Order: sequence, then C-alpha cells, then structure tokens
Amino acid sequence: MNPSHSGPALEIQHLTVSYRNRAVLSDLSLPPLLPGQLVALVGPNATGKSTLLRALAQLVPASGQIRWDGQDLLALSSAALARTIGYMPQSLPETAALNVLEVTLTAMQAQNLPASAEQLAAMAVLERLGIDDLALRRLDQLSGGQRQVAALAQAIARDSPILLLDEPTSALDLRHQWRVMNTVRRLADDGHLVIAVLHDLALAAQWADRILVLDRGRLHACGTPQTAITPDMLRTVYRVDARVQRCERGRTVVLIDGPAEETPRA
Amino acid sequence: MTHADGNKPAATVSAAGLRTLGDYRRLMWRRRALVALLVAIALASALTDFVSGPSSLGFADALRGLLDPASLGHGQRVILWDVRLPIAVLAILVGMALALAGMEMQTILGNPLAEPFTLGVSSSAALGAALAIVLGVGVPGVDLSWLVPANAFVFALGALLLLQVLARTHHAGPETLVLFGITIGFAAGALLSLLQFVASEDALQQLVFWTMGSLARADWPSVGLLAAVLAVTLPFSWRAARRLTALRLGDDRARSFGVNVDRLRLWALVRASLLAATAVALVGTIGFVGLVGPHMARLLVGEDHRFLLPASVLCGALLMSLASVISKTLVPGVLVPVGIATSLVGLPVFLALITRRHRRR
Repeated sequence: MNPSHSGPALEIQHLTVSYRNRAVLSDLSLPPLLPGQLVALVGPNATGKSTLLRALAQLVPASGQIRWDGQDLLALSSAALARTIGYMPQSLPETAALNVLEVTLTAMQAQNLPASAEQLAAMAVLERLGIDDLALRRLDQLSGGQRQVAALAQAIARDSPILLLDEPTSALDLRHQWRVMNTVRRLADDGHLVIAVLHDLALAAQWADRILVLDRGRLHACGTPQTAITPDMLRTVYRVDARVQRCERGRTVVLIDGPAEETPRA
Repeated sequence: MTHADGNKPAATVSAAGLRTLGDYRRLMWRRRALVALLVAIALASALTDFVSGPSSLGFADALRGLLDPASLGHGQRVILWDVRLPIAVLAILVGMALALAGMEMQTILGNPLAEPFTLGVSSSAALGAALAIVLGVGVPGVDLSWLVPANAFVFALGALLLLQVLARTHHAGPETLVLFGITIGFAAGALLSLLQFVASEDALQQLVFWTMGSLARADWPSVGLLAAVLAVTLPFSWRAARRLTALRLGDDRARSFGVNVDRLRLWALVRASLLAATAVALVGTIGFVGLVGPHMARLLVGEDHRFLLPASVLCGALLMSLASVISKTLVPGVLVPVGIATSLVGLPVFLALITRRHRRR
C-alpha cells in the first residue's frame, strides 16, 4: 500500500483463492517481501501453502493484489511473468523422453537467447546444483532425489528475481538437502527473493530469514525463526504439544511430545 | 562446487561442462543425421512404390519414364503419371499427415494412445462416407465424384468441433477430452453399423472397401489438396515445437515457462483435426500410422519436438509408403487395401523398437 522502502518488493494484499466455491486463501495480506530474503512458508497440510505459490505464479485464478516493483503481476504477459517468476511445483517431472539438459533448456525459452548462450547458461545452472554429471541422463533414468534437483534447475534457469519453490527438499537425503538449501540460500544472498514451502521446521529455522506460518488459509504469524517457531504456535496451528530448543548459530530443534489435547478431528 | 557465484557473470562453465555440452551437440547432430536417413529411406520407399505394380512396366522402364516422360507410349504414361506417381506421393503425404496429427494429439493430451482413431475422428469420417454411399445424403452443392470425401471431411471435422465444444463447456482436462473422443467414436460406430444393416449389398461392399482405406483413388487433385493442408499446418507446428516440448513436463511447468497452454492446445487440436480429416476423407480410415509413427520417432530421437516433429512425420511417411508397396506385392496382381498393410508393416517395426529399448535399459 505504501511503498516506503526503496527498491522492489513483493506486495500481497487481500489475496483470495477459491476452489469450487471453497476459499483456500481468504483475504490474505502479507508484509512486503524483499529481494535477498529466503522466506519459509510453513503450516500443516492443506492450509494453502502450495495454493499461495500457485496463485503467485498465476496457475490458479486469484483475486486481490500482487505487485512486484510497483507492477501489477496479474497484468503481465505470460512471457514477462516467466522472466519474473521461477516456479518449482511439488510434483516431479513426468517420464518424458528428455534429458536433464534438454529439460533445463526448455525452461529457458521465454528468454529468447541464442542457442549457444542458452546452452552455456543451462550448463552453468546444472554445475551450480552439482548435477552436471546428469546433464545427458534421461528423466526416467533418475532417482527421485535427482529428479527433484533437476526440477529445481528448471525453476532457477531463467535467473528470475522471484523464486517459488514448493517443498524443494522433500525427496532428498541429508547431504543433498544441505546442498540444495545452501544453493537456495546463496540465490537469496545474490538478490533473489526466494519463497519456499518447507515442512521441516528445523530446516526452515536454519536457512530462512523469515517464517510465514499459514493456518487454514490465513496468516497466523510472520517473523524470524525465533519469534515464529514457538510451542504456542505449534499448539494452535499444528495442534501438537512440543518443546522448542535453540542451539548454537540459530539452529532449532523441535521435539514433539504428542497431539495437543482437544476434540480429535477425523 | 563451481566458482560461478559472482553477480550474474556471462555463464561460466567448467572444462568438464564444456565437454558435456560438446557431447550434447554431437547428440543433436546424431539426431539430425537420423532425420536425414529417414528422408532417404522414405524417398527410396516411394521410388520402390513407383516402380512396382501389376502392369508389365519394369524397374528400368518406370525409372526412364519418370525422368523422360516423352519416351513412353500413351498407355504407359497414363499408368506411370496418373496412377503410380499419385499413389506413391499420396502415400507419403497421408503418412505425414496422420503421424503429425497423432504426434500433436499425443503431446497435447499427454496420452500415448491418442490418435485420430482414438478420438473418434476416423469413425465419424466413416459415418459421413456411409451416409453418402448408402443414402446418397451429402454436403449440398458438392460434385458427385467428391461427395464421399467431402462428407467424410465434414463429419471428421464436426467430430473434433464437437469435442472442442464439449471440452469448453465442461472445462474438461485432457483425460476427459480423451473420454469424450472415445464416446464420439463409439456413437459414430453404432450409427455406422446401423447404416451397414440397412445398406444394399452393393453399397455395403463399397462401404467396407472405403473403411479399409485405399490409395487406389489417388489422383492429382487429392495430392494437391493434402499437400496444401500440410503446407499450411506444418510451419505452425514447427513454430510450436519448443512449446510442445514444455507441455510434456506438465501444464504447470509449461505455464511457468511462459507458454500459453490453452492457446497451444486449441491450435494444435485444430491443426491435427484438419490433417486427420483431410487424410481420412481422401483415403478412408487408416489406423496405426498416427499411433505408431510418433512412437517410432520418440524411440529414435527422444521428445525434443524440434527433432520429434520431423522424425514423426517421416516415420509416418515411411510406414505408409512401405504399406503401399506391400499392398501391391502381398498378393500378386491384387491391390490389397492399404489399411490392412499398414498394420502388417507397422507391427513388426514397432515391436522391434520396443523390445530393443527394453533390452538397453
């Protein structure tokens, strides 16, 4: 509403998304999200986290305001939108007869680069993610984790300022989890705005600057890992009794004691 | 880890990465070579188609006649230029059209079984043809000799139009669209059976012959018509190649890559409809080519549509042309309906490719 800060920011006001007359997100307004931030989107299942990302990527019809750098994102052409937003869906790419390099190149078509520059840029992305050795491997020959990193490569290939990642680490082992989160962190440090849905609160606390907690389509809390991840929040939003322990370097451990006492829901 | 973390440098790639890119470029050249090879084989097949036939014209005579028509007698010239050449060329064009239609349908519907047959196009065309043959009902104002193909065309296009309308009014996804297509196909099939039931013996025989698919009716106007439709649709398909590749990764991804998925799907279906309707109207229902051509191409060059498109079109042309040769030579002196021959040719080729792929994995 009132852009007092300088430089671009993602501003989301009164966002409402409905599926079949049921509001998944209702009148959601967020504080401005800035480049350089890694924002973790957390909350229980089916609270609208993925829907929020899909609404920002304009894959579902939404009402309200989404502005980036003063521009109405809802009014951008599909090619301009592709240059502004990189989106990594939850589902892994299907078994198309394409190799990882081809898939990455396909993600870059809105940029209209000459073929050789496009190939170099795609290869650089694969090297950055450490999957350059898989470049000529076909999707159906990859493990689930490898496919997920390949999917991340598609999302960041256009070097778009906003990156929306839906559970980028869900299929990864610890080493690859670290590697992907480290890459995502550096993308934010390089000036991208990264919004990632994360189920693992410890991972969110370790890597994110900001935590957005969604609860049934509404914003429950927004803050630093310290202020947002609390036993109180875990009880009201996740309905579990839990202890939160802070360790060195901002690391957080969440210990679940059991479901919070309440009338159980089916 | 690499050192490419500065502020947006011109993409820096390690030596190993450059080697991989070299491998990728070699892979693309290999695919181009495969496409060129397919062109050569299809041309050879068309030539074989041209020089073979029931008349006494041998290989050398036919070849001489192609290069120097003046050296032929009138009868031979008619056989070569008005019978054999249109058949050979039409076989190639029909194969191209059906395979291109099949490939676009398979990609936009995300369904490996999609082709003009599965979407009810062919059955509807047959119904249209049957109306003309059995009841003499047809598109008003059409010359009698073109009544059957005109009817078939209108019905095939009508089926696809109906499919579009159903999809639009029900906001149907690709799966529902396929189901609608199958429904239309069955409805047309039932009505066709009804017409066959009431048809006279003469009309019935004509109808059965039509539904088997035949190149025997090939003439230059048919060739010109199908060539024109291909000339109009192919450039648009080619321009959509990269967007079609993106669609293979799912709607959401394609959209996030900047592809207008709904528009892409609509126009691809329009192109496929035109191609399939024209081809089926001219030569009758020919199955298998629209299904197998694209699959052969996929196994040969993968699914980057910049290679898949030409390879599909050429595989279709090759299959159809080989089928035409076989339809002439299977039973000496008898022209077996080409629709039967396509399956005979396509099946072993297809099986060989599938089993080869599974062994490699």
